[in-house]
Amino acid sequence: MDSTPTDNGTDVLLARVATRDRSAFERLYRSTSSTLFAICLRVLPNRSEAEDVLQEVYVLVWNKAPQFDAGRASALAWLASIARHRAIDRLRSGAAEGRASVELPEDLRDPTPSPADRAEATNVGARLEHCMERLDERRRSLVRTAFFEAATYEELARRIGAPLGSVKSWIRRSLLQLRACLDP
Amino acid sequence: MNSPVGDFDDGGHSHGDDMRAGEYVLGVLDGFERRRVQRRIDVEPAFARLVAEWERRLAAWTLHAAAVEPPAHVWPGVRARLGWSADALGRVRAWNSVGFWRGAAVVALAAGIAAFIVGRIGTPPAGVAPTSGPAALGPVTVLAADDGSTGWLASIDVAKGTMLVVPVPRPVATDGRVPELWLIPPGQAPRSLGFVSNEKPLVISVPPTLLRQVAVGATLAISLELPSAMPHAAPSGAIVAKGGIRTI
Repeated sequence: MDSTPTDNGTDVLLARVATRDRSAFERLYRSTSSTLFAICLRVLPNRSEAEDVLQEVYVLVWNKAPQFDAGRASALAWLASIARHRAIDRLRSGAAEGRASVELPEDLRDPTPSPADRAEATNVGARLEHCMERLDERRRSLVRTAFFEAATYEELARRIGAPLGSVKSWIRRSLLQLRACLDP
Repeated sequence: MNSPVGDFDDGGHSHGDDMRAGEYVLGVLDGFERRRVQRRIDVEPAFARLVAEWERRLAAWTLHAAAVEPPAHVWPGVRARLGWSADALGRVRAWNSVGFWRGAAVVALAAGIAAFIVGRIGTPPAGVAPTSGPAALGPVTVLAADDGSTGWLASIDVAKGTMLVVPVPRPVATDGRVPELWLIPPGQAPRSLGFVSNEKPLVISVPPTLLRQVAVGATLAISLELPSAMPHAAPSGAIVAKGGIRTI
């Protein structure tokens, strides 16, 4: 029932959704909604807002499924990025007050649970962690906070009490370093 | 370490575009900047590719979230937003599709249902155990309509705190409403167990606070309710099917 979505199974379902297959869409929802809901909740701790965004996400998935390019990303990664971006858009559009602080995973090399179908994602995660290790420690935590709390440059600058220009420069330099390390 | 950043601070050339794409995926842009980036993704394929590259680089973080089951009303809400009526899925097509039956447990329950329907002739309509398949499946409670026809079948797994609810297909005028399952302990008010499908088998989890009430003597009932604000505090629509729990 609540099995972890496999990348492969999700790809097949999404391809069928692109042909306007409603029962495939319902199965896609059943197999991926708990993952996408978790992604929404991480950005939007307000549950009812996260539920609302999740509905918006699946409507978008139905409408955009024919545009999905399997050569560019796995179906699951595509769904996940739609969920994350819609959640961030919602966060930006409303009052971000009352945001609980988010636990920052320190290391992704040993996520639990780690089903076999996530093995590739785990490898990718290990590589990302390996490249993160090579960043200066403070920048590493800045990049993590930026991602996992979806914090704007302004929020980051305010939080660490550093000039906005410096924060931008640190983040951009970190992105360049990450790109250089991650791309073969 | 105050190196000049001007070489990629300018959004005009490709180096700046790549940084912009990275900033977008990282999540550091404000709402205004995000909308600008999103417009460019829609109309500039080269820029969309840069964004996709960053999505790929950070995908492990995007997917790093422990699954959380969304509440039952979300799915009917998605259907409502798409303008699909609660009954639009093509009940017969879905029922006849082998792929529709997911997992051995469902198939095993189907065997139990078949045994029930066959065994019903001359047998009191009490709970019946599946005759084959995994032994994990408990007895089946029949939720029947007023005319005696079977509407749903429920199999309770007390140990796991779950209930498998299987609809028996037949035309139902739902009028945009969706089935909601109620637990009615003897002499008490109905408690919602949330949305159940009238199209496919669904495993629902019973809240721990209600699990002890799922017992012999209690009644399971289904009413048709608006998909919003599910689960409801009390049923507002007519009961379309109900049945007493005879065995667990």
